[in-house]
Amino acid sequence: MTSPKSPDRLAGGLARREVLLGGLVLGLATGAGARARVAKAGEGATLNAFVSIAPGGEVVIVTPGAEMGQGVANGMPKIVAEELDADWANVKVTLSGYAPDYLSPVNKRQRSANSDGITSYYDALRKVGATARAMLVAAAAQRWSIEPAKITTREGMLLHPDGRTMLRYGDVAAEAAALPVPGTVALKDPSAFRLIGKDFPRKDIAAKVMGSAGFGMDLDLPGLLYAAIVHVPVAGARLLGFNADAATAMPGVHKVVQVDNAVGVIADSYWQAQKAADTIELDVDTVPLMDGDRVRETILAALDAPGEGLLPFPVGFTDGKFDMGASSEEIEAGLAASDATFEAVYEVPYLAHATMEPLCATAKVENGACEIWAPTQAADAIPPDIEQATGIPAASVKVNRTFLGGGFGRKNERDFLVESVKLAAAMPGRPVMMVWSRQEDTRHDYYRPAFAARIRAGLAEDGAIAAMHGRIAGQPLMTTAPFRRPGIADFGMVGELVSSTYPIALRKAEAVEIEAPLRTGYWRSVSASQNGFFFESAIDELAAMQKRDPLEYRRALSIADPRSLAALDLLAEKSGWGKEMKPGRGMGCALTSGWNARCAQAIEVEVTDTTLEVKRIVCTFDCGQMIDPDNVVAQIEGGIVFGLSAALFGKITVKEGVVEQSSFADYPVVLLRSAPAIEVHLIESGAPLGGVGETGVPAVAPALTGAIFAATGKRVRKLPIVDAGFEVAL
Amino acid sequence: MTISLKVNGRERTVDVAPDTPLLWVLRDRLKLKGTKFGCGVGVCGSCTVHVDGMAVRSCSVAVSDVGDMAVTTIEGLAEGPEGTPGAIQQAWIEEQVPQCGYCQPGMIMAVAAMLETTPNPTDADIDDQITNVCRCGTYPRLRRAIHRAAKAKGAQA
Repeated sequence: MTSPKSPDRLAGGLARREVLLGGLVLGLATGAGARARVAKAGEGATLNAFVSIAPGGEVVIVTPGAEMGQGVANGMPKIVAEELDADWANVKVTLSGYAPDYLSPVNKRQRSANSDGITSYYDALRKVGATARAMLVAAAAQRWSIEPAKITTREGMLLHPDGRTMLRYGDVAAEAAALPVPGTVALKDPSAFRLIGKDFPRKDIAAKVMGSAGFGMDLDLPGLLYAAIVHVPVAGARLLGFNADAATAMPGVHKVVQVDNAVGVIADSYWQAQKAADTIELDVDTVPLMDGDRVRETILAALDAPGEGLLPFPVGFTDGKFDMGASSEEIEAGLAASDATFEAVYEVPYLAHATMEPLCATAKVENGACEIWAPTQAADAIPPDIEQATGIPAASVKVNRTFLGGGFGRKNERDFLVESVKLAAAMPGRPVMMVWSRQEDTRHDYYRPAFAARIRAGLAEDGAIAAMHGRIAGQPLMTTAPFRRPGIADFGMVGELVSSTYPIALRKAEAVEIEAPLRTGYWRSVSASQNGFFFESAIDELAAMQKRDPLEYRRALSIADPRSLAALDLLAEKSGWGKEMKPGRGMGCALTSGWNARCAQAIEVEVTDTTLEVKRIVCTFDCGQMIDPDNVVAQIEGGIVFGLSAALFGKITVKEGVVEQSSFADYPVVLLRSAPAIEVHLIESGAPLGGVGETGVPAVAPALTGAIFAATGKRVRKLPIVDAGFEVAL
Repeated sequence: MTISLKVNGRERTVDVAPDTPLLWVLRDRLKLKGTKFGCGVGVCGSCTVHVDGMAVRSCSVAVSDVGDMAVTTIEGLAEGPEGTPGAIQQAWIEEQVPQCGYCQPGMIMAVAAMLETTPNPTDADIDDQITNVCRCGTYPRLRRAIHRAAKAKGAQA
């Protein structure tokens, strides 16, 4: 793995020399490209925007994804290497900046979000690898004056049919780069895969344990300055002015700059900048102060009296059309005709992302252009945002990406990138590295909103769900196009509220949006982070209402879905479901089906008086085809810990307009000692590729509250669990 | 103010304000970027280094308080030739611990200090002594890697 240590190394992910040798670009979307410049034989060459081959045969592959821990700096290049027949041990991976060549042909974007990195690039990356291989084969065929079809490839070698003559990829790379790009290429039969689906050490891990992996703050550039920033602390308030007299006089300080609703200090070192920033007095206008309790009251009131603001939400998408589900009349009739009905209100709080690496970005502005180096999940969205915010034309914005010290959705936002460019604009020609303090990071997040939802359901005699109506209230995540369609509720709010995990005859989902001044955004698993809890809790309560075992009930509901059944059956086996438990112990379960995966979890707890201990989490997981199975396990383990932190303790509160939390000290997360034993069992179902990164999160809260119910008879309907009178050791 | 430090076996001199946290001297002056800034208030442990063999959170130690004590960072941890992972780092690779990797240098430094005083830690020892935050949730692998590293180091001794 190459660390982004120098600007050369960051230039589109390729070292300067390799860039100069090549020049040919193979558009992902079009598969077409111009001829490469001819280089001398044996010198290596860039075959396309993703693949270059060094003279010695080392294959350098660019990942189009943002590496935030989910493993796309391994999985994506591996797909290319598979079809290229590269020697994986001899593959070096580099990170990408933004380039049109790296847009996913599926969603026309380059960003790492929505757990779709692998699914949205899989076909394209295979084609990239196969195309490069075909060009190398064609070059060898010319060299040997034989038919290309007679040549085989293996681990970076071209093999002559005589069984003795061989060429390394590097030997013919320059000739290959000069050949026309084939329009169509044959892909491998998956049964011939040597890399995909098999585990090798991740390419980024060695650098990460040696301390040499380059994150956002690890860049060093000539003339680098540092910046700290303080934002208006009151949600919704505007900055009227500020007093920076003390800051300006402090050692090392170059400039104090207002950036919209914040003030930045640029200094010779980060510490000088931060110390100076701490002395700045902000003059803030008077606004109605946001109070968390009042927001909660508003949300709960909106559930009962939505008034005009009721927004429908599709319960399905078939044949390119939204299925808007049942009408109100149909739902009411369905509920009235049911054998038994159920109704409950559930709540979740605001949540912060709390990535380990606080927000940071480096920018240099010069001659009406800018260059950015940042740990960002976004890519193509950055230049237009910079243009809109600063007037620097999008075409003059160059984006380089470093490793991300966690992302979880926060680093898909561009606020901090815009800030860094505006700060750098105050020091033309000098790169400026802006670093947010942990307090700024915690208090100026794009939060997962607080929500309340009422779930109503009607059961048929056999326990089948005849009707379900879900209504959710809270701040939406997205309010504007292109993320919203007129008259339709926000997917990030309502998605999976009335889930399609199980068949339900009549389904209806709707939302009431409230206004509050906190910024909201995508948080690992997005709508499923709350709706997995709401929906699966309701399923659990429906089971309890019928005095049925919660796993058996889910199994009965899943009877038409072999993947769900397999996940639940394996879960029962691996968790020892139904075993005798001593008093105070209980086990709960949940099943979620987002991202074309199936994730079943069983959680065992022990409750002694009011002390809750999570003993063990067992997960069975089916995401269909896998690229790196061990990394799938790691992602699910991590997703479970992420979901557990939120379920147990996660809560952002606002008092008098100010977010009360400021670091891991008051926004606690699970630590090593509070992490239970976690077992993940993968299921090879043969299903197509599904998403992984977010998929482990949603089942945790409902399985955990189900376990608490099993242990105590107490149903927790409002997160976090510590607010329900349980003490949890940190 | 000119301050002399012993970092990874080398004498270093920096001109910084005496209250500058050791973290920022290591990162921005000595360009040892392996030590990470996570919270700045000594809670998360991303900035863990050794000072005279003890694990300390370098964001919360003023550089002027270090004196002549020996500072070791992740860059100085490897026992073998430069670039070769030490026993703990090797265990991390074998268990494929890191995801985003940001907390791992601090985590490894905390574990290295623990293994000096507690060469065969029990799970309870680990729970007591390793309090660094990992937001990716690498804890199951981390625990396995700690036991693996302890075993490997024991075999070396």
